[in-house]
Amino acid sequence: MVRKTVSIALGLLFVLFESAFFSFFPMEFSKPDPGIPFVIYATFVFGPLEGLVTAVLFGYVQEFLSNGPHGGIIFTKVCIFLSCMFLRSRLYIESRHTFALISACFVLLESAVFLALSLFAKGETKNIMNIFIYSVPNALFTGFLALFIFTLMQHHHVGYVETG
Amino acid sequence: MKGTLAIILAILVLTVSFLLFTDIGFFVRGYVKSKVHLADAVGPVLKVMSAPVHSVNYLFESYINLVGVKRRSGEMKKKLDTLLLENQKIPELEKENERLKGLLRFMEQRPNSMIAARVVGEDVTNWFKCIMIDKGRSYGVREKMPVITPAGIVGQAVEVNQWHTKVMVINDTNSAVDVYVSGRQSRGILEGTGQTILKLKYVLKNDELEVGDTLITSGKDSIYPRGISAGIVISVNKNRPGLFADVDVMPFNNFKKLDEVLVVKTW
Repeated sequence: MVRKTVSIALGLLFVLFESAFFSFFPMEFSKPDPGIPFVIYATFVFGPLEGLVTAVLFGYVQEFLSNGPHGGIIFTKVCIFLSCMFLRSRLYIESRHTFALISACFVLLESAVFLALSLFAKGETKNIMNIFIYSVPNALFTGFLALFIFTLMQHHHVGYVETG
Repeated sequence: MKGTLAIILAILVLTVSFLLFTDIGFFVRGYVKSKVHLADAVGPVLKVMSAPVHSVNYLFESYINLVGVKRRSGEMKKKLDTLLLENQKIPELEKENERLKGLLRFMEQRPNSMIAARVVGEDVTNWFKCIMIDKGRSYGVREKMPVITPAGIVGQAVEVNQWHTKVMVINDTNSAVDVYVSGRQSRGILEGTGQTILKLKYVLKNDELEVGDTLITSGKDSIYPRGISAGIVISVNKNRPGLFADVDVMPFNNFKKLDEVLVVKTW
């Protein structure tokens, strides 16, 4: 339990660090989303409730550090969690490469969910198609980041093979 | 069992977040309050996080400065030639000078009307554009206060907590600034596109406007004070259907490299 909490807390600290880092090193075109690998890992490895808590916490903190509309990022993160729940018994993450690929795919899914939510809920949205411009580079960078996150989590002895 | 419970809870969270997204007052008020409390709690962490990043930035820039001294000397010589050429443009600059004097007077008349703040964070997503500054409620910053630099406007405060303020930058898709064209009668709304370039909307095709014109805040949106530089017109397209011209504007500030900003308390 302590290991799981520490892992999620480290992830949240990483999001805070990311915000400070972006103000020094501008990466406008591609901003990796560490929330997605953490939500996937937590749902697949830690369990459903832990996955949901991770999704809500990351969504909440990312919304705090973003100018996005209220509830938007939490909504997308919980959608990612539900997708993970659906795939939990259908997908096996056998290596960090699979994990990275899944993370990248989920970034694309997140963009599509946010776009659908914006178009459905707001009716009229300005320049919302920007999301599509950024989704592919974001997915690639998140995929690379997921490689490190997976290795780090495995190293932290909360391995997929042990508990999954 | 745990899985079913998690799915039920997730659907509940989805419903609440959807209601938040649709701006239902009751939910939004509670949510904003909770966010302010969270921000009050984690505020110092962001400050601590930004300190090593700023130190590395300082070291990195100092090193680059040292390495580039010789190269810069050559560049300075070139710049001197350019400046000599630019001296010939003095009459054109007089107008701008007047405006800047006005801005300076504005700042001098109200010495306590501005708060200097440091940028400590940036939006973690690239769908929206905001920066976090290290001055919050305790320094007198409030929502909707304009944020500027000597170069021009940056944006407005949208969320203020004890330690920090979230500033919506003018290139955010939700940003709109009422501006007029310096030295001309044209007026329009400067809207963010989510990219570096901004769009000047609602400028009629027969309005006076040319590439290179400077846009100045009009003060009519009740958020930004009058006379602050907003950007420069980089393209005007009147060959399109409809009443209005398609105008691209480059902001004067490079929002990716902001270190310090000024929050205007009163104007």
